[in-house]
Amino acid sequence: MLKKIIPFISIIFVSIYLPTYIYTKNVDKVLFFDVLPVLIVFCAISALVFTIFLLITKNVVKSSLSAIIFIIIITNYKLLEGAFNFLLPMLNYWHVLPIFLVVSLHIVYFIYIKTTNKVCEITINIICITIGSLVIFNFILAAPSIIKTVRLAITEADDKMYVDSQKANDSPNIYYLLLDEYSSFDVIEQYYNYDNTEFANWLEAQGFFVSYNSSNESSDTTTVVTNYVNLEYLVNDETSSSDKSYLRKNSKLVELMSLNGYKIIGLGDSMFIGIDSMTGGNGGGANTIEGLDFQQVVLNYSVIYPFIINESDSSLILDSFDYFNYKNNYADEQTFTVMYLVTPHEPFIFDENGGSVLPRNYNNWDDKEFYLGQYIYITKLIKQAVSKIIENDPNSIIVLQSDHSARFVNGIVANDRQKILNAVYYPSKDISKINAKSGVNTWRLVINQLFDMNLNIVEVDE
Amino acid sequence: MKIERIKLKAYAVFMLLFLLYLLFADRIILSKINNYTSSLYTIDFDEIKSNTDAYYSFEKLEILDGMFNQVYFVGWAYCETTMDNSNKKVYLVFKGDGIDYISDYSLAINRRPDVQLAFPDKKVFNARNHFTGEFSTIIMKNGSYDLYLYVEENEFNYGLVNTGKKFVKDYRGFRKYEPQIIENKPDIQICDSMKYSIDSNKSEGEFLAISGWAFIEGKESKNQYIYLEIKDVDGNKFTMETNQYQRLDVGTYFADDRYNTSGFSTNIPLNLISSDYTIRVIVENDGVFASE
Repeated sequence: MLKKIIPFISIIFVSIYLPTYIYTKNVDKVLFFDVLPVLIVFCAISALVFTIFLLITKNVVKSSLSAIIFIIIITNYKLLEGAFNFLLPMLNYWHVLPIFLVVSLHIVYFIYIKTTNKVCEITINIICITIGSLVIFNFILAAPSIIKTVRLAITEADDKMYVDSQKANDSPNIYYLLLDEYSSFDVIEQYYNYDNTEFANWLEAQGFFVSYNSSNESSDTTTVVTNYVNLEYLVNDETSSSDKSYLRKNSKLVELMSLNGYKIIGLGDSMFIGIDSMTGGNGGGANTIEGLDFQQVVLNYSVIYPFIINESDSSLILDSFDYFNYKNNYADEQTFTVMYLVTPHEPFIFDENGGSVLPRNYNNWDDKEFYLGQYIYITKLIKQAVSKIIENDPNSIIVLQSDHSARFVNGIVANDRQKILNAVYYPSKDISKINAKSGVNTWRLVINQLFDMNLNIVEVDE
Repeated sequence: MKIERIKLKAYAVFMLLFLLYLLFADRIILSKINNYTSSLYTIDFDEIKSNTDAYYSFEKLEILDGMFNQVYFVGWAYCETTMDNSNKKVYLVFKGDGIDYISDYSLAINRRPDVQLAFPDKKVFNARNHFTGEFSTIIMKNGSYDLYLYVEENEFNYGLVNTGKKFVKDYRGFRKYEPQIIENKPDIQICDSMKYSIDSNKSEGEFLAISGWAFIEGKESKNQYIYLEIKDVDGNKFTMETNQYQRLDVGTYFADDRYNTSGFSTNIPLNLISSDYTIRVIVENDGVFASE
């Protein structure tokens, strides 16, 4: 029986060796749930390769040995290529991969024609014992860390329950989604001939009040966002960058929320307003210094590595939106979650379906498909995030804003650049006064409702 | 027997085609490269002329890798000018050992009005200061490269500036050069006219990230190299290289453009540092090593 299953076990050991090695070396940083999809994909590919050989040869032992050779190349390609390039540095991917394939086919041919089943069985047994021992040994070495991580997770869950039971304030959680360069509904229609009414209708159906004609005092992000988070027109385009930076990082909005007992959570590029980001490399966990997550690291070793573009912005954007998919992130305590993302602002890294864009078009404003594609995809991500927030935290407040519209599209006039996305979800209150108000005044009206204050509508100081 | 012979012939044809492919693969692939990315071109660095100081900042310089080892960059740059710059061009120049490369000039130039506002005392002609682009490093030969930026505002004002950024191309691909530990510098002179500051000194992962500025009064900072000497309480010491870059704020503060290139940064492995240590900034200028 054991003899029959050893070829299959060997294939599994070889296919999972690299992901499990990386996991066990980083067990305190990586969740097993992040590893699982990679293991499943690698095992599925291995099964496919094995099946192909089996269909051709009808020999289980020789097929498994042949499959193992190809699996080693598929999963560890970059390491093998690195060794190859060390000797022959002038060769590129398009040389090395065909060489590996041709050499592997020769070895496979040798296995089928010149090798007996007995020799193949012995070889597979050696591979199984060697690789299997390494996998098990790695897990044994990592066991204390795995146990510690599980215990920590249980303790955190207990702490969370304690916090929930101690909750003293019923103020709603607030989610502030700020998208850089997300065009207003009329700008996207006028300049890109794209009707985004379906999104506006969807927001209204969720309970948002959408202000269709909101506009700001400037189209400079540093000016607009500094004023947003200070709830008044403190700066203009003439103010120095360092003064604006200081004011953003010591903002009245964050101070007000903190004074009222709100816990501040940052996502994306929230460091721009002085808030550490859960997804921006300041507490996000399992990312490498280059911003790669576990799956990217493993795939970067595989044969598909040249097709992976390591654009750090894309993972930041996706990770930030992904934050809203996890139920654990909807604590009942008072939270003010600020997600600031430099998108659909250039670089245009997503097409409308979330596919990648050639780097040469990252800044292509001349061809409208690139900004528009990213705009459409980001709209989809906003819808998903908003759905999740409302599903998990229906009594919360959601402020959805941009700082300006597309600025570099051909022919856009200054006033149109300053138009924004401005929509607020405040289920228990009438927030229709935000209609036609700027971003700053929208926030003042939300604050008035939230803290029963009486902030006036402010005008830009001419 | 006949089948065997056919098989043998098929195999020979296959191997011949395979060898031909290997021989011409570069030509086949690189002929298509311009459909996907911008290329670099060889140039003689010494032929690049410069008549004006160039000012710049890189906001992003990201190695994307991918099939063509692409690099993506964003920043702003200008030379002082009072003439029309509607044909402004910005190039990246890689100065290597024996071979130099220049990027395609067709870098996207967009508006960056904040640059004009940030330098009211400079003759920044207009808001066309933002540059961005990408290129493939696939044609670069293995070696180390210094990155320069060449800014051509118009036919009257053009400047070349060393960004202080270094890159390495080797069998592992194209990557940023990280400052290394080097031999301790001998004969360091005590220099009262040296000015320096360590602005940031914090641990990032497995490294201590240090940045700041340093220069010797009266000397051009473009010609200097900055090193950090780390010494523990027992007197053990080692010396680190630094990356150097423009610090226009330093030149502005001391009202002397000679100090515009005084910025430095480096990452020191934390495992090399004891709990108590001192950092000494060393500036090499005109072959003399100086420290405070």
